[in-house]
Parts: sequence; C-alpha cells; structure tokens
Amino acid sequence: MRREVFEAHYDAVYKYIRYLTNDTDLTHDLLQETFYRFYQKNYTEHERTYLLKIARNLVYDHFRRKKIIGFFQLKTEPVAVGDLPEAVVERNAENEKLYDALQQIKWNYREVIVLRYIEEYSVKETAMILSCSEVKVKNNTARGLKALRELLGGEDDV
Amino acid sequence: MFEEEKLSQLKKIQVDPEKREEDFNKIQQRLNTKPSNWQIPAVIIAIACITLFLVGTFPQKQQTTSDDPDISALQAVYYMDWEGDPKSTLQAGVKKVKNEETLKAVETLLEQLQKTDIFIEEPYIDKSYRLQFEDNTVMRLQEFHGSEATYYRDIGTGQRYLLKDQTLRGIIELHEPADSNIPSIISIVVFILLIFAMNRVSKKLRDPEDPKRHLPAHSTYWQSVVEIFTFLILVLFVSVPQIHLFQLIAFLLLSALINILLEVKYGKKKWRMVQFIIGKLYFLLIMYGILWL
Repeated sequence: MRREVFEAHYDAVYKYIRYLTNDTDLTHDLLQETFYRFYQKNYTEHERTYLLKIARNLVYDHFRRKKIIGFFQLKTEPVAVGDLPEAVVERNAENEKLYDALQQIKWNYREVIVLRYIEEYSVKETAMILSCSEVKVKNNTARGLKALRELLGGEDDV
Repeated sequence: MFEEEKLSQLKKIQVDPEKREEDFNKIQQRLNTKPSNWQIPAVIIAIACITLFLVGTFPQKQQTTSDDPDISALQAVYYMDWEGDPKSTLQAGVKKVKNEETLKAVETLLEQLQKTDIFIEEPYIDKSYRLQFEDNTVMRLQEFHGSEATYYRDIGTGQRYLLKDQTLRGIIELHEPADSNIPSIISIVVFILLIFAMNRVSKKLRDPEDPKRHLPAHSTYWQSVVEIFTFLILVLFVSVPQIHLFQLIAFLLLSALINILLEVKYGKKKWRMVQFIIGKLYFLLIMYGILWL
C-alpha cells in the first residue's frame, strides 16, 4: 500500500465527496472505500483521475440505493442543509452562503462546478472523470454558474 | 467571473489529522484482512437447505396392509392428536411408542378390533396412528369416539372398526412411561448458554468509541427486514400442522444465509454474522420448545 498516494490525493478526494454528499461521516466511509478499491486495483498512472472516478461511482451508487430503499422519500438528492464543512479553511459568511447555494443546485451541475473550480480540472480532464463529452461539461458548467449566481442574488449575465 | 473566484476559496481545506490517520488505518486494516471466501460456505449451506427441505417433505414409502391387521408383528407406532399423518417424531406433535410392552398391548388390542358398518358423518378425530409392521406394511388409523364405543377408520382401506371398553389411546397412555424431563433441561441449559453467547457478541458489536455504547441494530436496513420477515414466517409455522424439524432448520439456515450475505456486502463484521447464527439458534430452540416439548 503506497502511503504517498493517499497523502497526495486525500484532500482532493475528500473535498469532492464532501461537496457532493454534504455529510461528514458518509464522506469518510466513501473515501475509505474509494482508496480501498483503488489499492486493490493497484493503478499506477492517472491516479487522481481514477480515484475521483471511483469516488463518483460510489456516491452515485449510494444515492441510487437510497432512492430504491426510500420508497416514500420525495427527495433523493442530498438535502441542502448543514453548515460549511469544518475542514474549509476560509470561514466567513460569504463562503457559508456560497456553500449553501452549491448544495442547492442540481447534482450534475454541482459535480462539474466542484471539479472545474474547486478541484481545478480542465474541461478535458473533467469530461474524462465524468465519462461524458467536453460539450456537456461546458454546458453544465455554464448552467451551474448561472444557477449559483441566481441563488446568490447576482445578475444573470451569462 | 465573480463566482469562480469565490468558489476557489472553498478549495482550501484542512482535514483533522487524526481523522486522516484513522481513515488510513482503516483502509490498511481492510487491505490486510484476508478476504473471506464466502461462496463455498454459501453453496454448502444452500445444498444443506435443499437436502433438509427435501428430506422433510419426501413422502414415505407406504404399503397398505391387508384387512387382517395381525398378519405380521408390530414394529413401531407413531401417533398424534387430531387428524394427520404421523410419519416421524421429527414432525411437530408426533410421538412414537417406545416400550416393547406397549407394542405387544397394541398388538393384542388390534386383534380385538371388530369390523363395523356404522357410519359417523364428519367425526371429530381424536387421534391419528401409523402402525408399522415388520413386513414393511403400514396401517393408518383414525380414532374417534361414538356414544357407546370407540371407532377406528383404516385410511388405506376405508374399513371401520370398533372397540368397546378399551381404546388404543388408553392402552398407550397406560403402558408408556411419562415423558422424560431431560430434553427440557437440555433446552433450558442451551437457552441460557445462548443468552450468554448473545451478550458476548453484543459487547463485541458495540462501538468502543461511542460513549453511550450504543448497539447498532444492523449493517443495512434489509437485515432488519429479513429478521422481521423470518419472525412472521415462524409465527405462521406454529399454525402449520406436523411441520418437519428439517423444514424449520432449512428455513432458518436460509434466513441466516441471506443476512450473512448482506453482511458480507455491506458491513463485513464477523461478530454480526455470529449474531445471526446465534439468533437463529434462539428461534430454533423456541420453536422446538413450543412444538416438540
């Protein structure tokens, strides 16, 4: 087991799962599962890409299962409640509001926004992680930003 | 572009180093654990379930006797209350004559059976008997009471007999020894041992870091669903006449297997698997106590 891989990508995987699930305990569980599966396969290149792909599949599986089990559950996506994650270093009212808005936008917009602006991936890399076209990434990014802007009370100029 | 700049503020995170270390240790621990090869035990248990179920439901070889019941020596007598087909003591409510002396008394009584044409419409069956003779023939009798005599109906031939003054039931009760207390005592001892074992398993399952030492109910919601379903089926089993012990064991094995497979998929806690096995033994013992003792 290579510790350096864990150290190098821990924050990225944590952030990605945490912003998608909005649940600290679930984040740690899925993060452990992500690294466990990664180490089992023993990937040696594009490590972060594979890690994020595994993490994304796990998050999707989790909520898909929850959707099947919760027969009477009206909302299947993570509920937009909870404060700014304790791990975020810059804590201020503006970031609280931004995080809250991020949790309220559609899930497919949210994951693109997280990958593009928080994980700082290029359009091409994001498309690779999400297994979709670059056009779709660009569209979802623009729509996600627009939705965020509306929620934050800014002008719709996109 | 204001949102993009603001979003970049969320990228700086600092996860608690203790949590990070804990995550690493848990991953390492899981990687170092030898994966349990559950497929082989699962197949073995599945085969055992099917075999037990088939044995429990397989019809016994039955050769009806001739009209003359004393043609061969009596080998065994199975009996039960009410209407039914007592084949084995593994069936709920079925008893077997243990004494040689009782068998001889039953043989003598069979010679005293008088053929009759009296027809009683829809009689209340008091007891059902299965008489096995040494030549492998079988006679199935139903006992019911009339106003002046006790009547017997041979299921195989439809012939009716009557007995005055004596009854098969009376003869068996007279000659058979009282039921031994040993099975009840053994059941109580095993039950107490199971309570201790369950307590021990519960301790292992509690999270040591939880200040309230709360016992997690399940690893996945479906395990509780399976447990509730098992309980409801067992309640139904109590009302099923002559349920075979092997059918009960097969059902409990199947229920334990499903829950263990769910545990392998969702929780991977060995002690939870042990808990399911002990839980099923509990159920088995309780059902045995209700239906057999």
